[in-house]
Amino acid sequence: MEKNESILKIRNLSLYHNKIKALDNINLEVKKGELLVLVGANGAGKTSLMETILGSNVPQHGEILFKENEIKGKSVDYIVRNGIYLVPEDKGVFSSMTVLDNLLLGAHNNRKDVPLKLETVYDFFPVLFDRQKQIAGTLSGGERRMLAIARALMSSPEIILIDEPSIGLAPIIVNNIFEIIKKLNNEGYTIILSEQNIYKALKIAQRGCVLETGKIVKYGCSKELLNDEAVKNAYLGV
Amino acid sequence: MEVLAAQIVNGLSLGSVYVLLVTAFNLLLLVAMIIHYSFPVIVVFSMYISWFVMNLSGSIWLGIFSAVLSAVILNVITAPIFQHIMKKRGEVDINATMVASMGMGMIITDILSHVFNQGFPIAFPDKLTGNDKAPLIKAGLITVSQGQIIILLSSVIFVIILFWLLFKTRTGRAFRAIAEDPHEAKLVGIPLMKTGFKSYAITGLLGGVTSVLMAVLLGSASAGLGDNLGHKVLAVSIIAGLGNLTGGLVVGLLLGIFEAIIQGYFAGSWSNTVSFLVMLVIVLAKPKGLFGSNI
Repeated sequence: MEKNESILKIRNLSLYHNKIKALDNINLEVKKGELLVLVGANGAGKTSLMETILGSNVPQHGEILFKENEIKGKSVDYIVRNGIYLVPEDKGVFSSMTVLDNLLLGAHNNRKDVPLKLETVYDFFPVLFDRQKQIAGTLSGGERRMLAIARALMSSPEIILIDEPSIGLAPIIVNNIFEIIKKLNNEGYTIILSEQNIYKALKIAQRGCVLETGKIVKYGCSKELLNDEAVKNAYLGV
Repeated sequence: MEVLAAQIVNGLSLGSVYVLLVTAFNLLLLVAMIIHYSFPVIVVFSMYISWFVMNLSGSIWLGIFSAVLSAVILNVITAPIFQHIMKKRGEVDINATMVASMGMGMIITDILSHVFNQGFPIAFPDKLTGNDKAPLIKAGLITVSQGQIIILLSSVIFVIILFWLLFKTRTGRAFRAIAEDPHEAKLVGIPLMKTGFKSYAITGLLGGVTSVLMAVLLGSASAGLGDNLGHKVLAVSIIAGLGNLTGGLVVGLLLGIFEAIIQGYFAGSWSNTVSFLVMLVIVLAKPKGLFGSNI
């Protein structure tokens, strides 16, 4: 698949949690190699959308095409095996397990070239090499985030979904994490990033998508969104 | 002093059987996310099957094989029932699984008491229990039989294998991930149902081995034995800390030794009362168990 070709298409996607509409007629297209940011307040539907793409939520309407194949209704392990991986918000790692065990869990469904993948991950995150035998629960917040992202790389993903990576981290660490995400994108990974730190996220993304109560209310180039008056007023406090 | 030493030796073999039962129980709790209260009933069922096959074929080895096979099969075929409960409710409903397990236990116990040996307890041949052989060690009151050595060694070997599986293999990693956080384990792509199913097969195997060791240790079995063991396994798990594998090892072994010591100094029938009294005190003092709950 060539860069800029559409890798993920979401059409008329709606999801209900009991009787509450969590996602309302979502239409979205993600191109290979792009970094798309999902912007929105708490409860806007960002996590629901990511978990629906991953197969953890089963939507009532619409379709999700990954490389032109319908993945709606498929199991999470099937979707992970086929190249979509979620870095969940908040905790993100198995804290009772070692760093190495966490990384190997990333390759649970994709066991090809594990030593090579480990080498690549350690090149990217040298701190994890030093701490591979350490229990993940003893890592700092920033290191845990790195481990969660590194674990995603172990699955050889084609799309990485990163949910709120800056939550609970000090500003300097947040900068670090955003640099890592940008670097990953520069290396060719397709990334869908959900973030409340909208300014930082739109700065590194090519496109953005503003969600409100489960609906996409704006969708476009991140530069345009950064200059959009409504976005500025609602999310940037300008 | 001699009585004490003798009963500690006896208690170690009894304790190692508890250890295997509690480990299997905890593994099912952590990975399959069920309270399989009646797991010991499955073990007793396998003892009956092995007794039946031994009587029919005259072969000890065939009896042992049938015990292991029947425990694996029975544990695995009951898995879909528990998994159906979990799937239907969307989230894990651990209490519902306990009720289902109790129901299963009652049915199996009833079948055992109606179908086998006209409801009378069954006795295993001396060839299996080793009762026809002189003890390996005899020093005053202290006797160590071949069977006791086999039970102890087998338990140690199986616990080591189980811990190796948990900490050194891909399946074990998946087990531990589910035990820590099932939702996150699902998000990293671990199939919960399939992995849970593996835990039924592994604990079934463990149950089969335990049934053979219990046959060697006790030499007999009755239909109600599983129920009695079910109480103890649940109590040990709670006292150690639900889902705490290391805690289960220590408390299981200690219970065996404690019971044996009581039997050495008082009438054997008091061992349950005293054990459960001590457990009651511990639960009152430490409701989350001595080693902390992992649930």
